[in-house]
Amino acid sequence: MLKYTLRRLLQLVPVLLILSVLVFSLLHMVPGNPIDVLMGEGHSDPVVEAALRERYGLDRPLPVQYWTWLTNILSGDFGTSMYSREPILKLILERFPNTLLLALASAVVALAISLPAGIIAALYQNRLPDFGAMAVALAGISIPNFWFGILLVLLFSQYLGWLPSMGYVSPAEDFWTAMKHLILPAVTLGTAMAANLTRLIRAEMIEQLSQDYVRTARAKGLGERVIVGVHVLKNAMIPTVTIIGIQFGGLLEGAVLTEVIFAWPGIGRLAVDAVYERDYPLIQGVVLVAAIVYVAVNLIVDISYRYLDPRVKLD
Amino acid sequence: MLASPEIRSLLRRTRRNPLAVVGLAMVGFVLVFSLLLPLVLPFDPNQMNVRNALQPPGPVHLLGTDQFGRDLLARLAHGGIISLQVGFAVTLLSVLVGVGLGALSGFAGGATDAAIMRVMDALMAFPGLLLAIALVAVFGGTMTAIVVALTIVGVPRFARVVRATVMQRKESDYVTAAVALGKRPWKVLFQDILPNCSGPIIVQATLKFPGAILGEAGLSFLGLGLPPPAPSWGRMLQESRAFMEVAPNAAILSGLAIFITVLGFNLLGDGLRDVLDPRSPRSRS
Repeated sequence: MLKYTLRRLLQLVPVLLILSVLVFSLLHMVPGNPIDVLMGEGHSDPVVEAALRERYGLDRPLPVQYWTWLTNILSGDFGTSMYSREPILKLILERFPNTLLLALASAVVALAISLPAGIIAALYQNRLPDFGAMAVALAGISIPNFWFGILLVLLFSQYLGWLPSMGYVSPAEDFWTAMKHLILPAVTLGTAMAANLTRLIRAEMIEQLSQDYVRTARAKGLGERVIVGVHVLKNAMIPTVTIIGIQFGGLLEGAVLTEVIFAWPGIGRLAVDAVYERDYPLIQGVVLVAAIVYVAVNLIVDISYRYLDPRVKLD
Repeated sequence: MLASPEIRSLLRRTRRNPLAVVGLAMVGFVLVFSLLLPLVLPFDPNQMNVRNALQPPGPVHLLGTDQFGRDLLARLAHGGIISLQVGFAVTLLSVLVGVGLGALSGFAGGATDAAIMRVMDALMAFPGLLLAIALVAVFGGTMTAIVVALTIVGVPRFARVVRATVMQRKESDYVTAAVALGKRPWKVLFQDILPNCSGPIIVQATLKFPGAILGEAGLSFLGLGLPPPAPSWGRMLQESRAFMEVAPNAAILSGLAIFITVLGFNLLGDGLRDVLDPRSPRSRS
């Protein structure tokens, strides 16, 4: 187990290195001079330019610049935002819990929809409930997440007036108001995930229902409820957990648009704001952190596989 | 290569798959709507007429007008051209680059394989839209930048699928036979292996198309797509949000256009996957 974990960690090293090179190159791919980017267009002060060059180390060769950048990041220094002049890591850490709250709430919504829908679809395979669930799931995959969010606002905020249309309230401040603000963003993001999950849970349930152990259980007279609820579901959940891990990347992605629509102060919105401000170091930081989080989540999922299913050989 | 038995039998089986037929019909509708409708519509999609702003659907402007009095139907139809262009360009480029890298990786194996796949792994670790946003922020909101950004996001999945298929086909008897007959490796790859990988490539491509359209819509919704007054669906949706209370038709319709297009291609892709992949959930039943 420990050996496997260590090997997986070692395998991650090249991926993370390539990842860092890609993120580092972002700033240097901007057409023109990085100084123009840092100072804004239309500057003309050579003294300031030289000072900036030295301060950001732009007068040194690229590999040296990369190395400095990388070692700084490894020691927790992501640089400072060009716009707010605050440390990038601080900005990201401030926003991250908000995105995490949104992602977790969305995952709850997604499971609440997809578990029953996937199970029912599998049990009624190729009958009306199955076709219904699959049609809704396909629609859910195809619907632009940001449009769905806007439609929800139109219905629940503007016409019905039940829920706030945007904004964030800290749960520590006022729990119920916070929950009210969380519902629409979480439903928007959660339904997108639910659509994929429903299809997956259905497929896994069908796979498991055709296994020998189900026939054995039926033969020894176990109730269908016990077979499905205890045995089949447990086995179907194993791959589902993996997909939830993979979908986490999708959640981060969806969070970008959802956070913009609902003015939710998470890292997705931070990234978009950084793009609007042309705050390249901040864009670099957010993209890098998002990728690292994704890689870490997938590692945890892979390892937790072993605990869920002792038959899985890790190699 | 196009008339290979695999493709012919694919066409025959597709016709019998209701999912694929519905998808094909929807895609056909979108094509007619965006490619032919602009030819007969009397309105320029960018012609402003502020006195005529935010009209509800009526006899002159069938779907109403936007905040500048521009005809919504004309803008939606022209927006379709943008979406289809992006979808087509991104899919084509992703196929070319993805198949190239995937085939090289799967066929060569060893260090080449490891190097290509680690880069793909790294690219796949980025949340797709976030990476596209960063790239468009760097290159600016031009058609080329959007297409390149969405292609970079799309290539890794293609490369993986093609690599896996090539590796599998490489072990087939017909490849062993071709090699035994003394055929050059690259000839084996192009004449024997790749044509037999067309199934997974087609499926992946039909799924990439709607993904690219959604990606472009998302970028332009964030204001990072083509600059105004280009009638991109995502931007139209974004701009109409401010007038949603008085004139919800623009917001509803531009989103609906994205939805129908993406759903049509997804249905088609799903149908094709059922036809091509005997192990897919639906055909297993």
